[in-house]
Amino acid sequence: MANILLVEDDLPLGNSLQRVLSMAGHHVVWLRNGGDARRFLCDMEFSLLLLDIGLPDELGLDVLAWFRQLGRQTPVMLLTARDSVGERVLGLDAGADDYLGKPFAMEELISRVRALLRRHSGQASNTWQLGPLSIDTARRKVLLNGQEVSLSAREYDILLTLAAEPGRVMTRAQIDARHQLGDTLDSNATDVHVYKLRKKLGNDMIGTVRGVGYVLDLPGACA
Amino acid sequence: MSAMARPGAKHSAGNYPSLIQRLIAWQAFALVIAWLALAALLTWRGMAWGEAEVQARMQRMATVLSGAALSPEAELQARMDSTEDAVMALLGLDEDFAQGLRSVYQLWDHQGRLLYRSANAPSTRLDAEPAPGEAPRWLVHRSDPGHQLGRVLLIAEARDTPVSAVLPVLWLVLKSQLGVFLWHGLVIWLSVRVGLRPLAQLAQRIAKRRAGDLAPVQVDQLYAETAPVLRELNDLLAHEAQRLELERRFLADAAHELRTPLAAVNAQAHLLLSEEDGQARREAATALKQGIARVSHLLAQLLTLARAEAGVSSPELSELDAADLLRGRVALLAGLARPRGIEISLSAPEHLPFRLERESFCSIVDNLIDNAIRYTAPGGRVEVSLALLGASLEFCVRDNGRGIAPEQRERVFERFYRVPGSSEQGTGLGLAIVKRIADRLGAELSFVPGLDGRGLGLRLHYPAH
Repeated sequence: MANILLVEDDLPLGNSLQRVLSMAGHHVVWLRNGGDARRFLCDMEFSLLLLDIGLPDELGLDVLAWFRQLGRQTPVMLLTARDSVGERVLGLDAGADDYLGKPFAMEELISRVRALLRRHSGQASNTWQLGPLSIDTARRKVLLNGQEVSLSAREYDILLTLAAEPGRVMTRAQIDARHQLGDTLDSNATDVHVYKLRKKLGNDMIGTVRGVGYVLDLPGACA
Repeated sequence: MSAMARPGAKHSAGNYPSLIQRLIAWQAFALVIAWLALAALLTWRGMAWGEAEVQARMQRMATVLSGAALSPEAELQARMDSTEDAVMALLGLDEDFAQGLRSVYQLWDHQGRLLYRSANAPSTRLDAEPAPGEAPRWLVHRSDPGHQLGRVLLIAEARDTPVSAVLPVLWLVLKSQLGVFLWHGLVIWLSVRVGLRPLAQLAQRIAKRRAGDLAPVQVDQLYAETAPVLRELNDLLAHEAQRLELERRFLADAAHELRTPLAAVNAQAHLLLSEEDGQARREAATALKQGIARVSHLLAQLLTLARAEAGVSSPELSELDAADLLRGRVALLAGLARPRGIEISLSAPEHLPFRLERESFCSIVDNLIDNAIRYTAPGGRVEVSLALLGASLEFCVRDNGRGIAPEQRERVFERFYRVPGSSEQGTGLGLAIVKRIADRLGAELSFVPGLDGRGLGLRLHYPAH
């Protein structure tokens, strides 16, 4: 499905991650140090970079900074054994899109990878199949049980954000930020759009966490 | 501690300014100042005699000289000289010094002839009228030693004493003081050296300690100056010993707590390898995964607790939107609650700017909510609320689970304590972590009623910093 570059120096972990991601349908190139990673990143295009922070020859954060300085937008997820919130902020500031502290569950890794790929392939020709829901991201079309549902631009954006990570609760601020909806004066606008989405897709598809935000519920999708 | 102090002590003390030198320098400085003050006083006194004093002195000189002044002209020279020498000898002054003090005088006869003059006197009359426009140079004492001879004795002192005339006096004073000066220096040096010996002993005692020895340092005799140093040092050592003991216990507890889940993981892996049946293998694999998740969670909690207990530094506060931060955490934790059919809700203002330490706030929030979700049965409710109360932040997590009996409420903040009879796979660390962090931040943690007349409620009162 996607071309993933994995940079991880630990042999058993790298080996297992490569197999797990391959079984999830991705093509994985696995490297074990920063120098090799730089060479590969220069020559090849990847859809996702999985980067360990503690590499034998340099810090993954430095590779990340160098990569971002080249102007490359490829999504990057950091893997690290140091999982304090401070580290996390540092990684995100350096231009990482996500951050996973070791040890992590494989389901967590796979779902985050999928979410990152979805978030960054909004424009690419791609069809997401989520239970009864089918989203054609190229033509911005949504099918529910094979029937096309007509959505406004805002409704579609909100649905796409929630569909990127089914089962994950998104706050209103997160939804707004993903699609630059933050400039709307009415902070309840998102609520209104979700209300309309529910009317079109059925009540049990989008869940509410009162005071927090919304979540796309799909049976079995949220492990 | 002592292991680190030792290499420092082994370096010679020569690289540092010496206390002894400093003390001596100050004393010497004080002596020099005192001597300069004395010299200035003497100079001033020498240069500014009162006229009455000068007249009295010249009067005395005249009395002394009057005998010699009456002698016949032939003997006059010798008599005058010997009288003068006798006066000087009587005063006990040596030649150099006396030169500046010798009186100026002339002896005239009734015909106006100069019979005798001292070596430093001019040949013209001392009491001559000064040239117009000039200030009189001399202060003159006129006396008549013998009426029958009509001789006139003129004794004079310059009205303005030049500084050079005073210098010999100063030199004399300095010479006499030099001995005192040296003696004083020696006394200071010796007393300071002996006085500071307890410090050297203290350093020696500390240097001789073995690495890891945190017993109090002992010296033979305490002084007012060394006692505070020793007391502070021993307090620090005691504190370190206590901290080390806590860490040792923590490590032992942690190892103990990790052994059981690791044994479980080991057993599950063994099952996975030895089971033949596909279904049984899948079950073993699932159990293995859960076991690993349990160890991972325990490890993360242990590290958080270790960080909270070691938190000696002051909190790193920054202005954050507490409501937004909390919403983000609840959104993440809702992913844990919803699959279990637990309804979680948040009641908080849209924005709530507050000075917080991000990491510790997240730890408190995560652990309290996670705890509530863990001990609430499927279908239950967890309510989270955040509000500004005066200048403080009030954060509340309440559930309608089975709650904690009042007699166990104090114990739940102890690490590795689990409420008896609870089947949940908790680490027994969540509330201990929250309590430690709250204590460090000066926040107050209290029990409040849960939901629906049951369950557990915990409230955190977080004061503004």
